[in-house]
Amino acid sequence: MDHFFLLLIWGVMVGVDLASFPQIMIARPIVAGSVAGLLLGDPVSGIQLAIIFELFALDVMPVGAARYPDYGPATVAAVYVAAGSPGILGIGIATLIGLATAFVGGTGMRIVRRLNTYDVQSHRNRLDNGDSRAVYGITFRGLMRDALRALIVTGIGLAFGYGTRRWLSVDVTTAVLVSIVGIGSALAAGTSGAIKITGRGLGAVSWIGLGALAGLALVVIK
Amino acid sequence: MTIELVRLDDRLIHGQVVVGWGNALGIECIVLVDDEISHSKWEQDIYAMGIPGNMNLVFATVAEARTRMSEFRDAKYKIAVLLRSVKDAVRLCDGVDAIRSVNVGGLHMSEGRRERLPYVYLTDEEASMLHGLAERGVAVSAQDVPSAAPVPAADFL
Amino acid sequence: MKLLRATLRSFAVQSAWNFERMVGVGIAFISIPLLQSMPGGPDELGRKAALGRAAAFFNTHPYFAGLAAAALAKAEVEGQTSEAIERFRGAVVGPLGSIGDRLIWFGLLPVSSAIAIVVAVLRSPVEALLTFLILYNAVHLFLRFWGVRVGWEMGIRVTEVFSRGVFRTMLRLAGPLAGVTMGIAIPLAAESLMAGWRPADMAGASLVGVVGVILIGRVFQQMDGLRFGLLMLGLTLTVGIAVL
Repeated sequence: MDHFFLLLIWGVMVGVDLASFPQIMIARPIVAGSVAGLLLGDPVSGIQLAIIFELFALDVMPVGAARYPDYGPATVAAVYVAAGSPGILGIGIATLIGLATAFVGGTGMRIVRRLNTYDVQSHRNRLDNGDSRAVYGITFRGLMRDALRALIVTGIGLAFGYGTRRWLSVDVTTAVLVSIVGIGSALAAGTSGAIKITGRGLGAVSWIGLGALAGLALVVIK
Repeated sequence: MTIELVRLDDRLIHGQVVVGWGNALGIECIVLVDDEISHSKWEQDIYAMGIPGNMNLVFATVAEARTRMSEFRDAKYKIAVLLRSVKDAVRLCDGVDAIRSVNVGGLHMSEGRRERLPYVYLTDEEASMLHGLAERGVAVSAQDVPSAAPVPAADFL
Repeated sequence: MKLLRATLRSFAVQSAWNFERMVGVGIAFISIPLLQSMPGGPDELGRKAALGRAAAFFNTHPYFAGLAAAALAKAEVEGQTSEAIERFRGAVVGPLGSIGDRLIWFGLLPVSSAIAIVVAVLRSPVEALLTFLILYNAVHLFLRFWGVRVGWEMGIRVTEVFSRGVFRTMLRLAGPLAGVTMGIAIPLAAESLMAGWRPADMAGASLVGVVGVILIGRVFQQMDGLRFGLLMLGLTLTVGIAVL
């Protein structure tokens, strides 16, 4: 149970890091997931889910203001699930729980920013007149809202995870199938993210192709 | 038709436009339509720095843009036209058949404006101008990024 | 000292992010220590008016917010007219964001992320973690500290720094570098995630991958990686539980 508490704190830290403070990108799954793995004493599950969700995160364009899913707490929840049943049996279900958490997290971000907007609207005069206490108040309350959001999202993710570990029992074939589909989806998201980031043109895609050749060569000689 | 996008956005050139839309539509040239900026060298320099190396940037006044619209339409490369004021968009579209649709991408809070969508704030006058444009057959819709669903004029004006 | 305080505040610039002013309140938050040096002491009307202007609508990449806030505050302290300041503010909002997005979200971040995946596969989780945090934040922290300094130094002439060769080179390299590193990372990730699998299972995952690349961004507008994954996994689990 003490793990649960540690994971909750870590989830809040990575959730707040994404957009509010300090944006050093511990919010990225590669960090959030591997640390969660270390906290749970299962670094292998940690890094596997970290890689899977890092691939999903490549597909997110943060230029859309408020729509991005929050993969930090999601990866923490996913690692929590995977640590219960490691390997190909658990990784797919863990991915599903993580994706569901990310979905909830993205909606939460919208709500926080909407509440910040109301806050700004109700202090419009004080802001326009240069009242520094209004600036401090709105900033502080915004940060607190985001922390609360991160707490709730991580809590939901861990609750999903707890429920899954406790009550969901699937046969081996289904568990393996879900893992196959989960990893396939992650690779699809990563690839389409790479294309979105570099652009659809021939020149851009050829850079990815060049890299992929080098990557395949590394796979062979590894 | 190589005018891929006609966009109303008070930030004009920014990430959503050059990377979001630029990558999705393969935009090769941006035509920035604004009377003030067309006459201001230092502002042009600032906007030019926001453009990736593989894109061209052309500045035009509304009047210039109107006369060159058929040239833009027949151009061999893909063009995005950017405007920051509703009034200019209406002036540009009226009587120019080349423009069939206007994307409202981001108009933000300022004096007298009211929220219509999270990224669209309009005065009543601006809303009725856009409404008029839509009634004259131009497809007016709001959409900030390519991955979002477009919101038709009727739903936010 | 006030530059340091402004820099530290810039780490929280998006805390008050809202649809009406976006990062405007954050710009004001950073400006407060910088505007203290305006003539007339802490309660002067001029300083309050400047802070009010700082809190208006603004949007930029968070790592460049300090640069913008410092440049705007410097213009205020220098006593530039509010028209000139607002004109500068309006002109810089988009392009500065564009530079930040291309440099960070479409350059540094995917490059660091891809390199971290490669290190995770070839070396160890802890090394991947450290590589990512150090590589990414070396650039990130430099931009935060340098931004406030150069913004304060140059005021509204700050945009000149972006015509420097370093920036041009980095902006030009960002896309290709991101493409190559992500290209390297994805096959390595695939190999490591499917290590020890039967060939049929690998083929299955690859098939899902190919189908996904074709479907994401195509079928309906909001079909992103997240929704594709949720849909596929949900279906598989439901069918698996129902049939098997």
